[in-house]
Amino acid sequence: MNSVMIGQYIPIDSWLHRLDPRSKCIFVFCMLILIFFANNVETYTLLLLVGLMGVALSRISVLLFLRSMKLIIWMILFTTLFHLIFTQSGSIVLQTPILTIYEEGVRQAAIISVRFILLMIFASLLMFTTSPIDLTDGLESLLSPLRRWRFPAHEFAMMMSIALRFIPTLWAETDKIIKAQKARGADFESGNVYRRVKAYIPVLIPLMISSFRRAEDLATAMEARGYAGGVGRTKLRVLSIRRADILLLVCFAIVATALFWMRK
Amino acid sequence: MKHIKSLIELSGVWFDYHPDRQMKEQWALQDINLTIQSGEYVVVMGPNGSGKSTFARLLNGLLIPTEGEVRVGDFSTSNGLGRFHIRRKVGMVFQNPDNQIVATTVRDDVAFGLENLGIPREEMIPRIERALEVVGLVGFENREPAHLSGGQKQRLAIAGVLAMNPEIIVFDESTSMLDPQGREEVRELMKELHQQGQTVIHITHSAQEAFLAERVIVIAHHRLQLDYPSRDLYNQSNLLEQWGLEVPLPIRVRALLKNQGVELNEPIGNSDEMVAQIWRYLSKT
Ligand SMILES: Nc1ncnc2c1ncn2[C@@H]1O[C@H](COP(=O)(O)OP(=O)(O)OP(=O)(O)O)[C@@H](O)[C@H]1O
Ligand SMILES: [Mg+2]
Repeated sequence: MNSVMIGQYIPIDSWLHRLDPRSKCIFVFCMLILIFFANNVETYTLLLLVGLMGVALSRISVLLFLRSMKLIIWMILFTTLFHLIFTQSGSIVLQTPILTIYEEGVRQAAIISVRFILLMIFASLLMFTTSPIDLTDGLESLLSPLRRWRFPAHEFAMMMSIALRFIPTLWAETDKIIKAQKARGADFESGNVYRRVKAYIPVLIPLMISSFRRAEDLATAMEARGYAGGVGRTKLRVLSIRRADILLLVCFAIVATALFWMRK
Repeated sequence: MKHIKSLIELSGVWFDYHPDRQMKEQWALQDINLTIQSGEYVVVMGPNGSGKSTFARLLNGLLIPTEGEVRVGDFSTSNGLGRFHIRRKVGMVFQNPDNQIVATTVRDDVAFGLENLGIPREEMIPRIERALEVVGLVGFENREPAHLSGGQKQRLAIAGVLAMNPEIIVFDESTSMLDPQGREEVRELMKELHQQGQTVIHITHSAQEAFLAERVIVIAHHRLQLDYPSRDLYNQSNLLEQWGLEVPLPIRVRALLKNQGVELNEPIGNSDEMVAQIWRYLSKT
């Protein structure tokens, strides 16, 4: 349960796992933008192929990717239905007494579905192959140029990493409080939604109080260990751009060029 | 004559969290004068709310005395540069094992303090290794803190402090939230650190732990009330009772037997030793 909550990282070893988190972030970000430039069968096929190659390179079971698709299946179904019903141009594909489906509607529905699937593949590739710590470090490094405009890149990353550190702790605590409340006869399973939500209030309040306490303790402990913000800090974890990372960016350049050449 | 400089020196220290709101007789700490030498093993005891944690936080500049001065080595906590050096010299281990671990893995957490000090990476790596070795957490480097036992978490916190090469380690009730096994692990580690020459200050409610130290300080009613070598306290267990502190059973029994004219040898560490001594006494007569 915990590992699902923190970013779904799958800790195995692969070419993609070993890449620098920054190059992965940039690659995925650019790919996501590229998806919106695809506009014909060839370009979508190209992107799908790149995505499938990524899946193969990650050495993660296809099943896991399919499972992550479950999250968006409703979105896909909804927009597909929406386009089939409301897009009314092009020739008629299917005519029934209640519903007429047009060619353009089918096209739009297909495009949207493929886009969602592509978005999910690339996002999953990043989340599956990058540990939350690496992701945090990568983001800190990528965002640090923004410090010139007073963006608190270090504080932002520190916040994220503390949140990651405390998710399992708070999760265990929630579990303990729920059990304690159940032992006192609290009922979380029956009744309507309103009643069930209400049953959680006696869980949330002690959780919040203890979180404030934890925050105070942690701040004291950090100060006692000499923490005084990001200035003058060194880092144990170093990020380094290697040949593979450069290769990845070259791949992206090739894909992007091919896509712009193939699109209408 | 050689002048021995004390490592920690509190002179005329008064402190309160809201000095303007309280009468001086109600301040959290009042008129503390105290010196601690390098290598000492000191236990601080006292009833709840008497100011022990406040005292601990004054030692490394987390709190600054309202009046008076706290000096550690050549530095005073009253100025910023001094505090920077003192944070490095005085390590602190707190009560709740969960709330003092910052990073997502054991190795990263030990590194946290070193990163704050700006230690170069090449130097960090051996220091982290050594600290984990001392506390016996080698092989746990990539573990998530949530997957450690309470005793292991406290040992991790100690490693984080040790990596910074402190001269003094202050434990603020660091054993009180642990199960008996975890408590034993941490006590054992404290003893080891002391034997290696580290200065150890241990705040505790457990009288049993107090007699592991060399010197016992009692803070009650916001003032320093007692400051004795723990050896001398054996014969004066009533002094502890006077301040509402629990006296360990072997020491109480010994005092009672003494009133009856039965003289046992000292010191008595635990009840097994006491039983052995009583047997020895009985077989002599
Ligand atoms: N952050 C704070 N703000 C205001 N008052 C405080 C604060 N922390 C402690 N105090 C007060 O200062 C006094 C001393 O508290 P301190 O925490 O030092 O006691 P303690 O001896 O450590 O107690 P315990 O055995 O419960 O840990 C208490 O009266 C307490 O109410
Ligand atoms: Mg306290």
